[in-house]
Amino acid sequence: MGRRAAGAALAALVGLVPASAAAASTPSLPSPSLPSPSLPSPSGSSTPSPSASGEPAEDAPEVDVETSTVPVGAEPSAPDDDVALDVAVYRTPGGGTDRRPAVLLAHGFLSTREDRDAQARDLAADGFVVLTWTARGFGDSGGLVHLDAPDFEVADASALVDVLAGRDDVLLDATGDPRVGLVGASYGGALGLLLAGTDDRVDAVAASVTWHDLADALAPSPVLDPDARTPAAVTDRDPGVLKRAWLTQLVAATGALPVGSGPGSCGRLAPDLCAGYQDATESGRLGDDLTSLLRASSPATVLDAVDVPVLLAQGQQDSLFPLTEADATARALLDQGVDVRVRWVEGGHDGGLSRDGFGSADGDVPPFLAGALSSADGSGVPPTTDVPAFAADLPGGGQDLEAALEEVQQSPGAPPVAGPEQPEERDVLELAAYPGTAGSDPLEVRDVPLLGDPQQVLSPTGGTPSSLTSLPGVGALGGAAGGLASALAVLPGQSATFDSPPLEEDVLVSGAPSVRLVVTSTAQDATFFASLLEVDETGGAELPRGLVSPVRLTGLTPGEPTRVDVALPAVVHRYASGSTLRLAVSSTDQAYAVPDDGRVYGVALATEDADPAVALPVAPVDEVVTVSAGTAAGVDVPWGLVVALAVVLLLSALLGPVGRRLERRGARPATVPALGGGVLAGAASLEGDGPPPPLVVDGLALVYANGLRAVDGVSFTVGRGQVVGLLGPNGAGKTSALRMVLGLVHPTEGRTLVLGHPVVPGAEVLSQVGAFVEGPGLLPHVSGITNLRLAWQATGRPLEDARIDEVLEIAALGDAVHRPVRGYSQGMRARIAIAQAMLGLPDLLVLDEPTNGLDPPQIRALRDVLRSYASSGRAVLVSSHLLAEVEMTCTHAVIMRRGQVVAGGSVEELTSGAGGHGGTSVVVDDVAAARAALAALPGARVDEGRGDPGPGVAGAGVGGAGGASQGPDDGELLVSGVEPEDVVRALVGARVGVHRVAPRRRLEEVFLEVTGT
Amino acid sequence: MSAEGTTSAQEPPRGEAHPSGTDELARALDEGGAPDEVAAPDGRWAPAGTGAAEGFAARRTLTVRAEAARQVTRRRTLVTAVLLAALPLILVGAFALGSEEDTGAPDFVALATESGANLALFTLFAATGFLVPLVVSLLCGDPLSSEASWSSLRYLLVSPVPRGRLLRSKLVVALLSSVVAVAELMVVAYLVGTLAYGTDPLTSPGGETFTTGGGVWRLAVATAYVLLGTLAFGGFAFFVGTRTDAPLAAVGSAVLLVVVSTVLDQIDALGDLREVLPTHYQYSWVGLLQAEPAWDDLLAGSLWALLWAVVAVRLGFWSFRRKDVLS
Repeated sequence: MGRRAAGAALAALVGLVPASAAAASTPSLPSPSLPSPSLPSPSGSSTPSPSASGEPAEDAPEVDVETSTVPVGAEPSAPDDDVALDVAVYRTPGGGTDRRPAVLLAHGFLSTREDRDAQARDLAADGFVVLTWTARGFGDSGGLVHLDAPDFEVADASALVDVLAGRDDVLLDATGDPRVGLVGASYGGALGLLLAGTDDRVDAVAASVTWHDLADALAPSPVLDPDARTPAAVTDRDPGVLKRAWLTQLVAATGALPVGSGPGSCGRLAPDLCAGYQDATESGRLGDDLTSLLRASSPATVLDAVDVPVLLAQGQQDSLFPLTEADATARALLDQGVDVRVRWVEGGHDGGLSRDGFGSADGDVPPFLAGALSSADGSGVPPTTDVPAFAADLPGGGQDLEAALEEVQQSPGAPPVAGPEQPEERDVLELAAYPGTAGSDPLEVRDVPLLGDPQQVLSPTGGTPSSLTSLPGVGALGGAAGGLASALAVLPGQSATFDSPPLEEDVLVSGAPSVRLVVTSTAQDATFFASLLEVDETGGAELPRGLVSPVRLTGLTPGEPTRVDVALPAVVHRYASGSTLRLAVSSTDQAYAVPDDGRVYGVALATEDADPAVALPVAPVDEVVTVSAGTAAGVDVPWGLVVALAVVLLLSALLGPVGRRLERRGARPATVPALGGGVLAGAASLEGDGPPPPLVVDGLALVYANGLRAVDGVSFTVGRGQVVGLLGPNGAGKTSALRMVLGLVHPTEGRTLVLGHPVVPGAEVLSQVGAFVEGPGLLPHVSGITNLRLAWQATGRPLEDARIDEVLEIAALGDAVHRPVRGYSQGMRARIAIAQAMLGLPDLLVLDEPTNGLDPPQIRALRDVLRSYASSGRAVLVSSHLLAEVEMTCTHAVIMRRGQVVAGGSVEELTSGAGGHGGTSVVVDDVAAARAALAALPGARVDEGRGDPGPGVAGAGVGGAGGASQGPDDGELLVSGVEPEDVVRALVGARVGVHRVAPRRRLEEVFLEVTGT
Repeated sequence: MSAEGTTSAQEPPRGEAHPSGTDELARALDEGGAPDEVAAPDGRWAPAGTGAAEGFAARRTLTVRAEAARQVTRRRTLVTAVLLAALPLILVGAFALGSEEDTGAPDFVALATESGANLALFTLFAATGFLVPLVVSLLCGDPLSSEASWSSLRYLLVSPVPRGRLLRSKLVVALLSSVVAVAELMVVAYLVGTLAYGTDPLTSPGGETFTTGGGVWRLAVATAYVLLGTLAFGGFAFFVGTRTDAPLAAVGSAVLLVVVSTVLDQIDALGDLREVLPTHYQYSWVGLLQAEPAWDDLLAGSLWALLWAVVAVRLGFWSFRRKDVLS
């Protein structure tokens, strides 16, 4: 356990933090006095089950809460100032003058009345007037902590009984004597017993996990009480072994410092207690002063005056106030004929108690109170009340499971975050009377033989290393995973162990076993810890509940053996058949004060009078019944969450259509007029009577958030039979335009029409479009042909429409189509992707830089494909930066620059200069002769060319292209104003050798001109 | 280009196939004829219907079967499946090799080797915290972002697969494969455990022994709950997957969410606020391991998980519909 975990565990303790902080920080940590809102309340009555949030359940009756302050006795340090208690009274409204029985609901140590709020509401709903208060020294109440001292806390409670007596809604037994029961756990429980013993107006007490004798409980050294026959009857040797860890944790949290005497060193702890505490932490034993103070605060001193029914619950998981405390109280009360109902419940100060602090007996409290407070004389619970005299929860049933699993999951460093669940069904030992008291038989005592030679046990100097059995407030180490506990509980060299033979049958131990030892010490005293482990057949050892019994012997003669009886921890535990019992005697335990000097003990089993054995109080197995938690507690439906989920689903369903509507509104119509007719017609091309062209781009614009117009009013048309080239320098917006055309990017303005249908994301008309944009997009893990199949499968169209064979021929990948695409070259990928675009032979093919990665023969083949594609009446839009390629492939071209269309038309128009700037370029072998010949043509204008014949772009019919054949007089002339055929005729007539004739401008020049580069 | 890298590959012989390819195409184009030309009654042409190609219907695009075909042959699918099947074997091996020493969870490990059912229980316990969220995040977050990273997403959209439909198919396949993955883990664990440790029924760490049937249904419900509880992470990964082109980012951010949620869940000061954390009720299925199962936390955990999953998935659809697909 890390430091942090220990701190959290501490906070979890009996509500060791102020209420506000506790509520905020440790809501799900189990503790006797802290509400654990996540725990279900196994209620056997009409008590409303609290919802998971800790709020009152919705069907709970309305409860009125009045808060007030009640003045009570002053502190000795300030005798003139009354202490004001913070009080709240809960009751259901209505009823007029109807008087009801009252309940004083006390809180646990270091807690406040707020922690009892939920329990108070439940009790109020059951028909009681419930008064809760914050005890002096805590929360908003004034005064100091006196630990249930008769003159202070107990007197305060009497004053509160007076308050109840003065209310007009509380049932009175006599004037000034209300019908009232007191309910409390731990600190509050002891208060109840003390009040019942000092104030005879109290009519019932329900006390849980509380002490009988506080001095003995904090410094025990138990030995079986020879005069008693109850199952956990012990008396304590004096002095005992100080529960140093518990004492420190309990007292330190009141603000008292372990040393020092200055102002503030005692926090809110009363000075007399504080001094005793400081003395005890130094000396390791309870001083006489402190002992007498603690005795005065113990129910043991007043039980002979208690004559009202008592419900007494004690936790089995409790190293602070073990079962022996309740046994002593019950025995004393039963012996004097008081009606006592005893519960040994799961949980305790070591963790895992329920919200109300009564564990599985939570549900018994309301019927107990109802019964006890119903009779006129308040002297007994009607026998019909279904609250058995004795019941003990059997371990198992998985109640610690969750906590244990959490611990395993989070270890190391975190405490269990969820308290154990109260199971719906549990095994319970139920007896008609508390065993061993007047009128009932004691439990059978079974001797189980123990074997083992005398052993030496080292008690190390300073008491470390020490064995670790429990962390006060956290619980038995390891929880259900008891193996770890036993490993740390029995340290080698510091422990003696004695084993029994394997058990022949299950033994249900219910109470405190005992054993007789012979102990030798090298000092005049001895302190050791005895425990009874269960070792299963595989050798795994479990220490039931992580409990040990401390033994302190004084007045020894060093080296001389002393016979000593030891009462082992009282548990309810089923030692399984086949397992062995292991008595462990250890010299150290981390939670207790041990001698600082090193010494060695000799430990042996006593053999003088009888064979060595451990005496086990054994409960009859046939009295074990399985009970369910009363109300078929069903499932606590978190309606808030259900509603939230429903709202989210509803919103989600509503948002879908709304979102789609917003999207449709997204694209605004074009605002930029088309540049002209033909390929640039844009929307104008929709005007005619004929079918709409395959693609009309109308005023498309894409404006980024920063205002940049990446595409700015682009309009053009791709007609049937056309191969339209989309040209432009890098960054001209070609690809963005194509993305908008395909519905991948939402245009800011404008629209795209394919075959007359607008394109939006997912528009069905896109099924008429094949696309290859910005490189291939193939699944790398499957073959090329599978890629084609999967791509076609995604369209959901019939396989026979795909034309896979034909497009595969275009891809021309041969056997490579069966290899995974991840091994393809760039060119192969491009070809399979182009083939994919052509799947189904769509009416419009949009290709973005399709020649990237293709070699010249493939480029040429692609050119043929596109031409034949267009010639079938379909259309192709191709973007490319290979201008010569476009010039040869395309029928039309659209040139973009900075997001705008700057030129467009048929390739012929663009290059031949139909706009009046046309001309013919001739490369001749004799420039001078050619000039002379051309000068004779009417209207001809002749310029010197750049002398760079360039690639033979249009020179199909003109042989001899290429620089090798050019002579010294070769040169290029640009002729304008006359038709090309006249130029050639003139040159041939003049016998000038013509290397090449071409339109004056190639697309490249047009491109450079219009793009301004 | 694909993220899978471009290794050099043997190009097929070039040149000879093209003419025939073009011829075939020309024939096919002719067969197909020119696109339909429909004239409106008044003689003017008017666009009719949606303009979809013959045989196209949006509701038949990217069917679950088509999406499954895209995912099932992937290497990550195979690796995940093999790893999940191997985990129980590794556990059995580890138990065989490991010593008897206390591990901090002695009873739990000891229980795991009791029977096949208990090995399955231990496997589920071991996988709940991280493995299942990881696998589900992978299966939910990766499909869309991988398509984006392969650049194939835009081709699916141009097919055209409507965006909502694309997401729906991917989500359905992701959820189905998550179910299959976790079921595989549990079934293999049960079988391997049965072979290794015998057919004894399930024993809970609390010491309760169930009937074989009782154990099987508890394991099945627990498995279903773990899956359901993990939906929040799956949904988150799915949402991130719609926002990123990097599959690793989608899965990684969901894993980060698991870690952050687990850390926050350990801060006691947060109190009840921790109930909203998607890991808070992660282990609530252990409430089933009692004679009377505790359903409360299971219900709360399921509702929270559903709530988060619905919100995340809804966000994913919303954001993807509006997204400009640039990858």
